[in-house]
Amino acid sequence: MAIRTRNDRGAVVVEVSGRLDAVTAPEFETTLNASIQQGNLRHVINLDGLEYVSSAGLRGILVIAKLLRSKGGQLRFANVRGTVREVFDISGFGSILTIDESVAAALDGLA
Amino acid sequence: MQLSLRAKMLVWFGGILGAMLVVFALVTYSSVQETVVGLTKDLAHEILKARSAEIGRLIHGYSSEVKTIADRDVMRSGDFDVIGKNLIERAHAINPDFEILFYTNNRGHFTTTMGAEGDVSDRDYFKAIMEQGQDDVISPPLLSKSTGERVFVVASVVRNDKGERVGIAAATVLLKRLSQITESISIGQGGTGWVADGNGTIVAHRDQNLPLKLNLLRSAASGYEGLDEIGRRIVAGQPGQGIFKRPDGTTQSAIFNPIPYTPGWTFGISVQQSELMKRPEVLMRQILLLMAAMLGTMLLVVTVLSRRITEPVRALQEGVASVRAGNLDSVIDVRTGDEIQALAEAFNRMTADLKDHIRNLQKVTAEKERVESDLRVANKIQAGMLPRVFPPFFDIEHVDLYATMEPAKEVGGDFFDFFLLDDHRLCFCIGDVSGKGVPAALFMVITMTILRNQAMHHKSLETVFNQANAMLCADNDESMFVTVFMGILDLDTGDLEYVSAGHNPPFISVGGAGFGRLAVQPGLVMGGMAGHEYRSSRTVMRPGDLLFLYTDGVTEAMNIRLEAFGEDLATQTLNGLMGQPVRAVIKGMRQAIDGFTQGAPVSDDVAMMAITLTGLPARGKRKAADKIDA
Repeated sequence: MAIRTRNDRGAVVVEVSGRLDAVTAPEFETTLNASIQQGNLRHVINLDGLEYVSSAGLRGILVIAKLLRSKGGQLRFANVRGTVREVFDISGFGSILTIDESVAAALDGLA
Repeated sequence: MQLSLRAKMLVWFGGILGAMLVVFALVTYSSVQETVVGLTKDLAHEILKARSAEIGRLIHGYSSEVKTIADRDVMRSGDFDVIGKNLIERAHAINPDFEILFYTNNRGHFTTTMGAEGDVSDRDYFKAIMEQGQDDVISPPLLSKSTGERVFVVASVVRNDKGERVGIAAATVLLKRLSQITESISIGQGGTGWVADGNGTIVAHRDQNLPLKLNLLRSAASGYEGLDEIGRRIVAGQPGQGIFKRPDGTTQSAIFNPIPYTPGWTFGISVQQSELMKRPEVLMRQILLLMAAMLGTMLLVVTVLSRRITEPVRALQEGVASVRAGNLDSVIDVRTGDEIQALAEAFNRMTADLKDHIRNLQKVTAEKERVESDLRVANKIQAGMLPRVFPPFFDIEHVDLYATMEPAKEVGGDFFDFFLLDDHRLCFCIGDVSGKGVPAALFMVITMTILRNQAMHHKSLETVFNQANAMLCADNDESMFVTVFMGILDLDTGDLEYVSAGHNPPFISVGGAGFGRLAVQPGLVMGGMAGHEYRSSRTVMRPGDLLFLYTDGVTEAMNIRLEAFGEDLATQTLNGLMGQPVRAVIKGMRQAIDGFTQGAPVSDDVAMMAITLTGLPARGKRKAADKIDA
């Protein structure tokens, strides 16, 4: 897994690629946690390069989503496609997470 | 090790020092020999020259004295008788070195201080003065015609007032006297002085057997070696030195110098070679003794020092051996105040640390064993929670159900469950807790318990899910969640109500057609977020239809190339098993997965469940019974 963060229009855009599983989920959590602790409340997670997400990866996403929700922050996902989209749909994550077609659309969607 | 270290130090220090001392000794010896021996010889030669001159002056003195006598008036008168009387009168007053004084007339007739008379006209010295015109002559040694002693003659011409040669005044000097003089001259401790004449004949020597009897040139015949060569140089009138061997075998060093005022005489001294070398050898002996003492002291110091170094090393070695033998309480006591003590202290600290580490390791190992044993128990408990009796219902023959769960670790997060809600409603579920191991197993136990309870209490499957989700979300700090698929099958009608909480949709085969995904309303995983509203779906199962539930351990089983088994392969496998009993279907699926992974390590729990209806009871009969119950 590779994870990169950048600031765009007052939000943190997180690019996640590769596999998000039991091995890599802790890094994902740590990175996002650090960003939230720095006071960033608006995040867009771009899953364009994500090939696979396991239940441990979903748990990581859930932890971050709940943390941001408790702090009154906003979290949007972009480019959720293929098997990842399928996993999101089956697990019901698609119904609780806000998913946009593109990063630009996600940024537009942030209030 | 101790011996070799000491031996090494001895060899290195002793060897190097010894070699240095030997080289130093050799250099010193050779330079001492060169210098001292050379100096000794030079000194000897100087002494010899002085002595030669002394002897020369002495003989010259004799000559002057005789000349004075020859110049006297009584001598010049030429009156033989008067001269004879005069000589006798003067006999008591002559130089004590002289044996006699004598006068010869021009015919060789002589008269002496002893009153003796005779003829010396045949003597060479007579001829030299009277016939060859020499004024002063010192004769070679000869036998005195008046006394018969070995003497040499000092002669001077006597002239009358007209200057005519009228006779000779002369003195005889005993060779014995010359020998006495030469004998008193020595070099160092030893040495023999001698005089040889111009023919190489020894004329004066301490050994009275030699004068006039040994000629240096013919010395080889008497058993001397190398003396003839010296003799040749003496006869040639050269000063010098040489080495020769006496008949008794001693090697002698001869130093010689011509005596002035003599007819080719040479004064020499023979010194035993060893005598000459005495001083340098004493010096050398002292140097060697000093060096031996230095070497000995050094070796002693090295020995003591090496022992002081090796003793603590040996103590250290013993300490290490003791620790190696398992005695971790062994303490090495070295107090040398140097690096070895530091090493010993470091070793003691290491031993102490080692002891701590071993204690910790034992503790950790014991802990691990305890945990492992706990896990084995937990595994049994978990396995015990899952239904194990197949076929499950004795009295209901038209439903067939089979399920398995294989955890990837000792305790897993996958589960399945089924139970009858009443006499015709079968509740079944399959689930997958996020994560693995003990946390997942604990969460699974909670989930199973809650689901069973809720299913027993609520008619609506949606309510069951909503309530269970609310309970799992409460105090779920770890954000664990579980995917659950649950269905309630009416065994009388085949009606099936089901809900999925984020779980993989089961496969179903309807009416003998191939397997396909069961259409589900996707719901959020349980425990994920409180307040989620679950929606149920409905379908009808006919006899022969088969419902296959599974967890993602099936579709995500990996081979060594990290390829997943996948839904397509799962569907194909199921289609291949169409019409088989549920147990055979699950076994077939298991074999297909094993064939695919080919021994690659299992990374996830695998749970599977298959349900089929073999028929339906007469609808009326069941309905009638319902009415009676009501």
